[in-house]
Amino acid sequence: MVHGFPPLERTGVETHVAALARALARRGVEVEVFAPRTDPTQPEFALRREERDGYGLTWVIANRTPRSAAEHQDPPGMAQVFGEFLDRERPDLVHFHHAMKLGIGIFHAARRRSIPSVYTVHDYYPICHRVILARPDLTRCSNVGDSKACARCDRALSFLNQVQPWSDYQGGLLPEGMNQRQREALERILGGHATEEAASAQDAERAKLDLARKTAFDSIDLLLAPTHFVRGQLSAGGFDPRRVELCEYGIDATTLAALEPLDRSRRPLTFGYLGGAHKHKGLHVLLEAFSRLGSTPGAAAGARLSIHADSTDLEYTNALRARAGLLGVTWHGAYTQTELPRIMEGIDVLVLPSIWWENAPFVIREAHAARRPVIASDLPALRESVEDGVDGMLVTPGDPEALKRAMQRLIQEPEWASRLAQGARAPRSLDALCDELLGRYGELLRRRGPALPAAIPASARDFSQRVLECEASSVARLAERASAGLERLARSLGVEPGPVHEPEVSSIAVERLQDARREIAWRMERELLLAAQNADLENSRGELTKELARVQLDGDRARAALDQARRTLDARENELQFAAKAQADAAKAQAAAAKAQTVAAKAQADAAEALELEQRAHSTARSALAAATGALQTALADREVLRATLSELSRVNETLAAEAVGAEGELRVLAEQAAVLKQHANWLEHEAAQLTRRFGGSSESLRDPQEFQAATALLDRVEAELQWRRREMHALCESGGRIIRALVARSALGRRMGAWERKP
Amino acid sequence: MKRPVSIVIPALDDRALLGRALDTLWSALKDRGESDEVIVVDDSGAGRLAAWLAADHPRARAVVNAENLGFARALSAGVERAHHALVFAMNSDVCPRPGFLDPLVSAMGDPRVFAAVPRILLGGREDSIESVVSVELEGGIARGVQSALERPRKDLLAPPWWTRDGVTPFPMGGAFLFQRAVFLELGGFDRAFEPFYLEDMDLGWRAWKAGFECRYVYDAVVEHHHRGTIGAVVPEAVVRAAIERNRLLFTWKHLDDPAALEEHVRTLSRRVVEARVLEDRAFLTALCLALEDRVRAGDARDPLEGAATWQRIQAASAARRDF
Repeated sequence: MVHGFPPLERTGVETHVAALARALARRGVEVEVFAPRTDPTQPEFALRREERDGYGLTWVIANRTPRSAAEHQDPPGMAQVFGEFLDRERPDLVHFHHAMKLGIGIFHAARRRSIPSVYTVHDYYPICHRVILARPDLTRCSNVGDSKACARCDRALSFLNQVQPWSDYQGGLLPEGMNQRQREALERILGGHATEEAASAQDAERAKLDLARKTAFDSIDLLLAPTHFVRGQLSAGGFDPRRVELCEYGIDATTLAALEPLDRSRRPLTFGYLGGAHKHKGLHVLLEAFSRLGSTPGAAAGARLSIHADSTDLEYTNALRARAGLLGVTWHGAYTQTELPRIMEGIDVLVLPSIWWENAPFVIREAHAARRPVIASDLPALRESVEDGVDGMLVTPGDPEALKRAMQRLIQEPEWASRLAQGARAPRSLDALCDELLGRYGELLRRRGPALPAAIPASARDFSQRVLECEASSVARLAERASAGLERLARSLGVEPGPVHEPEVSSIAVERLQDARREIAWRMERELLLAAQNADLENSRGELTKELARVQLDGDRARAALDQARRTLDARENELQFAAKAQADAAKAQAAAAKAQTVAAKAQADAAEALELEQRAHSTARSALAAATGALQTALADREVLRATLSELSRVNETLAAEAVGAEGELRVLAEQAAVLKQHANWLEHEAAQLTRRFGGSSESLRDPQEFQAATALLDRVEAELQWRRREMHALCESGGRIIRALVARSALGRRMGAWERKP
Repeated sequence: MKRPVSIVIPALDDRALLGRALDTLWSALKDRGESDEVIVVDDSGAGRLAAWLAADHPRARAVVNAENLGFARALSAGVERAHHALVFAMNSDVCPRPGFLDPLVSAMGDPRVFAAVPRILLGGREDSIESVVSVELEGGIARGVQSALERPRKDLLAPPWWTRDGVTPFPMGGAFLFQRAVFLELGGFDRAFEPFYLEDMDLGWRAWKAGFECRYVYDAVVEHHHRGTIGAVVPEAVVRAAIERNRLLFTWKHLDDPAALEEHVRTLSRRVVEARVLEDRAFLTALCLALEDRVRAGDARDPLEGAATWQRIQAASAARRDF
C-alpha cells in the first residue's frame, strides 16, 4: 500500500516501493500494489489493475477532494474499498508504505481481517499530521506528542491561507515570503497566544484527529524506521518502542556502482541537487550559498550547480528558477529512475541542504553508490547517512555561509574531495533489504499462530487445512486452479473437454455485467426513488417545519393564553375557596351567634329572672322591713303602752299599797307579772335596736342573697318571737287585768277602770 | 426367535451425550432379550471411554481407535468386530424409541434389502422426518435432498408416501440397519468422502448399483438430537466445503449419462467463470478440492454394471415407494 506510484509519482518513496515490489516478485513473492490516483474520467473508487514487472498494481481512483481535516485523514469509503480488495486478494500480509490519500482506515481494514501488517516510516506522519514535523514557518518542530502545539500549527495554516489566498504555501512560508506584520502574527500564533476560547475548540478537534491517527497506527503489527532518529521520535510520540524497529533502506545500485568515480582533476566541480523543490528541502539555502560562492575569488570559476528538481510549489519553484537563471545554475526539472545514472554521472558532489528533520534520503545512498561525496545539513537523521569527513560533510542547516565554506573547500582541495569520494561505502542493497523483510514477514506470519482451531479432530485436520488454504487464496488464483483441473476432469469422464470459449466467457462477462448494470440501474432507480421520496419528505419536512413553527407559535400563544386562563382560573378557584371558607366561617359564626343569642337570651332571661328575683327579694325585703318596722313601731308603741301601763300599775300599786294592805298575794303576782312584762319589754327594746341597727340604714345590704336570706330568717324568727311574746304579754296582761279587775272590783279603783281599759 | 443385531455407535469423548443415547437404547432394547450386542467405537483418539463404559454401561463393548479416524472409519471398525449378520449403525446423538428395532429387522427379511432406515425425527419432532430422502441433480450437481424437511408444509397436511414404508435411495448414516456381509462386500464407506458427509449417500447408491435395495421403515422411530455433529468442532467453511466437494465427487463417481455428464462439465466451466466474476470463493474452493482429490484418487470412477445406472436407481428408488 502506497500513496502514489510511478509513473505518476516519482519521488523517493514511490520509486522505492516499485523497486521493492519488483525485487520481492523476483523472489517468488506474489505482490499486489495498491495505490491511489486521480482520473476524472473514472468513477470514484473504481479499481484499475495493471500487470507490472512481475507484480500486480491495482489503482484505486480517488478524485474526491477532502472537505475537512477528518476527511483528509480518512477519506470516507476508502477503507471499505480497501477491505473488499483484501477480501478478494486475501494477502498473507500487508506492507503499508503510506496512508496519505488512502487514509488511516485502511489500517483498521487489515486488522479487522487479522492480516498481519507492516508499516515503513518514510516520514513523520505517525506523529505529525503535517508529515514533515516542521511548523508552518518551516522551523523544525520539537513538540512531538503535544496536541496543543499541533493545533497551533493548524491555526497558523489558517492564517497562511489569508497570506496566500490559494493555499499555495506548500507546507509553510519562509520568513522572506512574508512581511513584518505577517511574520509577527505567525510567531504569535505559533507561540500560543490565540484566545483561549478559540483555542480550546481547535485543540479538541486536533486532539481527536491525532488520537484517531495514533489508534490506527497502533493497529499495525510492526513499524519499520529507517533511522534511529525517526524511531526515537516515534517513541517520543507515544509509540511502543518494541513495535518500532530499525530497518535500514536498501537500494538497487548496480548501475550507479558502475559509474566512473569522481575525477579529482575535473573542474569546474559540479554540485548537484536531486529531489523535490519543496521549501523544507532548503534549495533556497543552496542557491544563496552558491551565490556567495560567486563572490569568492577563485571559487566561482571552479564550480557549477546542476539542479534536478520540481514541485507543485510553483511560487517557490519559479522564484528559485529565476534566481538560478541569474546565477548561471542549470535547472533540469524532474527526472525518472532510468535517467538517474546519467544525471549522477554529470555531478561530482551531491548537496542536500534540508532544513526539516529529514530521515534517510535515497539520493544520499544513490550518490554514495556512485561514490559521490555528499554535503548535507548537520541533522541527527542525516548523521546516520553521512559521516562528516568520511563520505561527505555536514553543515549547519539553513546556514548559506557554512554551506558555501564546505563547497569552497571541496573546490579548492581536490584531494579532500577525492578522499571523501573514496570514503563512500556502497549502500545497503535492495536484496539485503528484501532478505530482512522476508524474515520479518515470516516472523509475523508465524506469530499469528496456527490458523487451524485446536478443536478440529485429527481426522478432519488435513481437509480443514486445505480449505483454509483455499480461503486464504485470491479468487483469481482459485479460478485458475479450477480451470486447469476441469480439463483433466473432462478427459477422465470421457467428455469433450469443455473449456469455456472466449465468446462464452465474453457472454458470461456480458451477462454478469448486464446483471451488475441491472442491479445498478435498479439501485439507482431505487436511489432516485428514494431521493425523490427524500426530496418529498424533505419538502414535507420543510413544510412541516414551517407548519410546526407556526403551530409552535400558535401553540406558544395558546399556551400563553392557557397559562393566563389557568392563572385566572387558579385565582378564581382560590377566591372560591376563600369564599367557601368564608361561607363556612360565616355559617359557623352564625351558629355561634345563634348559640350566643340563645345564651344571651337565656342570660337575659336569667338576668330578668334574677332582676325579678332581686326585685321580688327587694320588695319582700322591703315589705318584711316595713312589716318589721311596723312590728317594731307596734312593739315600740306596745312598749310605750306597757311603760305607761307599768307606771300606771306602779302608781296603782303604790296607791293600792297605800290603800290596801290585804291584797298582798295578788300584788306579788302582779309584781312578778310586771317583772316578766319588763323582761319582754327589754327584749323588744333590744331586738328593735338590733333590727334598727341592722336594717335601719339603706336596703343595699339586702342585695346580697345570703344577707337577704339571713335577714329574712331573722325577721321570721323575730316575728315569731314577737308574736309569742305578744301572746305571753297579752296573757300576762289579761291575768294581770283579771287580778287588777278583781282588786279594782274590790276597791274604789274599779270605777276608774273604764277610762284606760283597752285591748293590748 | 428374534434375529440378533450388533449395534455399533461411533463416539467422540462426549459422555453426557453418549450416556443419554445408551440409556434410551437400553430401555428401547428391553423387549429384545440379551442376544443383541452393543459396540461403542471410541473415536476420541485418546481411549477415554473404555473405563467409563465398563463402569457405567457394562453391557456395551468398547472398541478403541488409537487415533481419531472420523465417523465412517470408526463405524467400519465396529462393523468388522460385530458378531451378528445385522448391524445397526447409530450416532451418539440418536435416541431410539422403544420398539424401534423389530420393524427394521422385519424389513430385512428380504435378502435383497441391504439396509433399512428408521423414521428419524429431527429433534424428536413428529413433523420433521430426516430420513425421507432423494438424490437430485441441482445445477448439474448431485444433492441428497431431505424431502420431508424441505418440502413445503402443505404436503404434510395431506400425508405423502413417507407416512408409510417405502424404498429410499440411501439410508441416513446416523441410524440404519444393514447386512454386515453386504457392507463388507461393497467395501464399506468410500474413503474419498472423508472426512465427512455424503458417505452414506454413496454407500446406498452403490448397494442399489449392486442390485440391492434400501428401505424406509415408518414404524421404526429414533430421535436425532443434533449435537455431536461435526459442525460443533469444525469451522462452518470447512463443513460447507466438505459437503460441496463431496457432491461433486459423488456426481463424478456415479453420473453415467453421457449427455448429463457433458452438460455437467460445461456447467462447471461456466460456473468457474461466474465464480471468478462474482467472487464465489466457496464454490471455487469446493471445486478445487474435489478436482485435486479426484486426481489424487487416480481419476477413478465406480465400476459400473451396465450403463445408465443413475437413471435406473432414480427410477427404482422413486417408483416403488409404496408397497
